[in-house]
Amino acid sequence: MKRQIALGVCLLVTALSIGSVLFSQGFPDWGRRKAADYYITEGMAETNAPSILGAIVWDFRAFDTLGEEIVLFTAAVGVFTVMVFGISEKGKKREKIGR
Amino acid sequence: MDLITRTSSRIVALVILFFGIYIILHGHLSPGGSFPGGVIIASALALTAVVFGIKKAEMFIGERTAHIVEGLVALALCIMVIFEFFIRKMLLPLGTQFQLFSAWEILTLNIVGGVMVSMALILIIYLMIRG
Amino acid sequence: MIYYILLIVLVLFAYLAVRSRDLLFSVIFLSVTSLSTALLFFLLQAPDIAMTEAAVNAGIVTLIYIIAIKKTRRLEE
Repeated sequence: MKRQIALGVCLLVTALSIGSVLFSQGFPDWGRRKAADYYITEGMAETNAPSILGAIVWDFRAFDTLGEEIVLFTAAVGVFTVMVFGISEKGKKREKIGR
Repeated sequence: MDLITRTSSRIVALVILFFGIYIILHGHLSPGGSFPGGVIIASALALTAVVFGIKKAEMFIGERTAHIVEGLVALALCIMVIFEFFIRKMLLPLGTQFQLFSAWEILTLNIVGGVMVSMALILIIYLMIRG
Repeated sequence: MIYYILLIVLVLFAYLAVRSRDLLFSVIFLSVTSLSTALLFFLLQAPDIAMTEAAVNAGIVTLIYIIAIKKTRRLEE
């Protein structure tokens, strides 16, 4: 019984998402956007780089890239902790089980 | 591993390594940047670790080296991005346009970010194979 | 036309990856899924993301999953 309910919910969500994209008329017309136009027209003059995406990622929005690198660093430190120290129960002392 | 895999992996790993360095260095001219370049360099080292064993792969970049370099480069990247305003005033007027060594700010940040990504992934792969 | 073919391949292999019994097969089906996604990104004129998705998903994620499967069972009951 539960499997059929789960399958029905999955099919309903799939049909809703595919249907809402197929039978729509596209995005509305938003007009001129200030930030995107500034990036496209002034991007190469400010940073001397022909690749606008490189200029946006490292110059105009550098803090977001820094946040992503910090997430990658956290993932590496997390893998190190689990592999070397192990997952301990409550109250026990932790010691190295790796190297 | 048999003879064909070992012989071809010697050449293919070097080609993949140079391709990764190319993608990092041309981040300001063509699509790429630090993320794909770092991942490709890490997968070149993963190829030698799978084919030849970990002891041969640790002759290039060992595990303690990757650990220490990753920590230092993360700190250096934080400092370079927080003080980016002053670095930009210093570095920007150098170099002609459309050449390989222009846009020094984006080039420096790409190299530092590429080293960081590749060292993090190399550390993860070593820990998973050995631990 | 090419969009429909790639989308059908994507959904079909994702379904097969969930329902297959052998875990090594599902890892390979996931890598085919990511290859199709990378081609879709390239056809929608975003070459940066296509390169990153192909390198990350079909290179590193497949390798890490295979190392994880090697330490546990291969056949799922």
